[in-house]
Amino acid sequence: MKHQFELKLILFLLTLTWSAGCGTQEAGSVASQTEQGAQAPASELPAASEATEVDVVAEAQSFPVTVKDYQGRDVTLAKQPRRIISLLPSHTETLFALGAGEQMVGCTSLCNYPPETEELKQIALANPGSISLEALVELQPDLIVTGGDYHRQLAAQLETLKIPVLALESQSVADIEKAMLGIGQATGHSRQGQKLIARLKEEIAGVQKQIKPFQKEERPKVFYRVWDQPLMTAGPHSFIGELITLAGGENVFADVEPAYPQVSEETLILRNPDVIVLPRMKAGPSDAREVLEKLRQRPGWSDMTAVKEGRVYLIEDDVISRPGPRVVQGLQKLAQALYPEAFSYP
Amino acid sequence: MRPTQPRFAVWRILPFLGGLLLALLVGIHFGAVELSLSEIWQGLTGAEAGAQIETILWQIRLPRVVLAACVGAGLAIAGAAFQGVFRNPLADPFVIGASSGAALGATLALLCLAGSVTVITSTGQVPWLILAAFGGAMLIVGAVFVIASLSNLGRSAPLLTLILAGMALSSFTGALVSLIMFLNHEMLNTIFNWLLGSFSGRHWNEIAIAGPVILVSGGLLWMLSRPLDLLSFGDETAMSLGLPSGKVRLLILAAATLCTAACVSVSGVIGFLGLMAPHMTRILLGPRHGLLIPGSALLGATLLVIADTLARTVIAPTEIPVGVVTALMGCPFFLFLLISRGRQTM
Repeated sequence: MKHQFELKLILFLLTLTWSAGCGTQEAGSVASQTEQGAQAPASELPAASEATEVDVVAEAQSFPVTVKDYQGRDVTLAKQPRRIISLLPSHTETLFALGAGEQMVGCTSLCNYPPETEELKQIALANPGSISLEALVELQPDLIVTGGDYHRQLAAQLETLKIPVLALESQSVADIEKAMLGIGQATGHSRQGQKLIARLKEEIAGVQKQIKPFQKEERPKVFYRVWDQPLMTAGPHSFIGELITLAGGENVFADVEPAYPQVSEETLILRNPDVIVLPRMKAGPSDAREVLEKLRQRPGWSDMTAVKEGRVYLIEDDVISRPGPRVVQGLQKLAQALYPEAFSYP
Repeated sequence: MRPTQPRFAVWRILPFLGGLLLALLVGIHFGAVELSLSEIWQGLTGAEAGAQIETILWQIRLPRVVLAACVGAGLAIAGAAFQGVFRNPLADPFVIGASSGAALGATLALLCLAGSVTVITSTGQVPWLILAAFGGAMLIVGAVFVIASLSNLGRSAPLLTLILAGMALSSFTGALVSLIMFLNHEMLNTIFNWLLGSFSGRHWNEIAIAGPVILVSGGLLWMLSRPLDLLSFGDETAMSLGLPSGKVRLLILAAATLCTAACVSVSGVIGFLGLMAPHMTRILLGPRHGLLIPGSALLGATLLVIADTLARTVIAPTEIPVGVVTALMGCPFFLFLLISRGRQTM
């Protein structure tokens, strides 16, 4: 095949893009709701409390510390790192939430939250093919926090340069907790790490408690549309798939294996979702009503319950697809889309 | 003077027709959603078969199957014509830059129209994506011709110059597409899907646009099958038989390019089919274009309908890009034919 090399590259990038769950959105989450489906517009609801509000207490933590990475390997840090680089937007958010933002010197250009990331030196793009090793070394980091498998090669290169690397996956709520724990220990904020985990659990439980009285035997069938052409969704093994379940919904494509598969339009029509959720992307339309109107025009879509009843929701892609401390905001927006009655205030 | 061709030769094409009809039936029958034969019959004859079944059959399944047949036929005819004109068994519809030009046009359109990606080809809208792909293909092929004619000083091997110029420009546009993909993470899926070829989300609209172009240009090529026969003996022979070879060749190339561009603009880059189908037909029906062109069209349509059916069903409800299937299934079969009956080709 002529395009073999390009295809390989593209496949690699695709995997990366989706596994990293990176978006290029401005911060803040607003779920737009369509007129028919909403009693209370999501934007007027109190947002989940900001993770960065965690109070930072200087800890008398003793270094050296040994932290386990995602493969269970030990990473030892002789002293508290002062020059940290994060290569994943979700890890960047975790670092700031832990109060380790002060110790950071760099992040990727996809890291856009919290706003302080703007002041950090930005490292090219967040895909392994375009991260310049030289640019990383130039910042003289004493710790680089990377994602798991998709940064494997880069991590190996950094290790030969004797730069400490902490590789942590970021694909699920469990991964978020592990990252909070690991990054907390490695940066001298392990107490904040534990606090953050406790609060994450509490907030997730809070959302679930809120929708509980409104849950019925039959859960609302959700179609999460990642992309239009090709039609792509989030499978049950993806982070978004996990959020759908946590928010009390049933993924219409609960039977697919890949995290973000291309799926068949016929199956979607037959499975007839009650709710359609889309990420609000930089490039796409920003108004849910506009999206709904376009979906109506698609052959076969106008008969879908979700389209008929106007239950089409946009959620800021940073909070729905970025497995970081703000996951609760994404979860809350999703729960709101599925159970609007649970979130209506008099 | 028409060389006498055995009358019964026409009958040898009947199995091809039967094969296509069978493939169409298989394509309509199998999908992510199983439709029984009686449901199909009811749906096709207008009897009550349930709204959802009817939607799936008429709005999603049928247009896809018909479009696959059109594109398969178009690519195969163009392949047969290119191979005849270039007297090169490796020539395929993509050799002079049509596919990479279309890919570039589509990529640029996707980039500029990002906001309307949602329903880029919904009925009643200007099909910018298709037009852009079409324009890109014509532009690059035009450039190839200009470059070839500029360099064609010694008029030693004008066909070779065309192929070389086509390959050079293909690489160049391919690199441009890769660059655009690399810089636009959020477009990766769409562009990637496009480069692999897919019928996902295609409806009657695409058939209405590409179908007539394929029919007219394909028909024209069939009418030119006598000159094609003569050209495949070499220019000298053709000219000594009174054929204005330059003009005829240009006409054939233009028609074949038009046909390719129409196919690529609605389906993306589907490799291998345009190379494989004519050779298989040549092995089965002989090299005479009067029979080769309709035979290739029927065989190409059959193969692509089957390939698309496989793409839709193998790991349903997940879909595979059809270009992957054509290469995976076509290559072994083609090699088998080459080994078993190779001595009779070209």
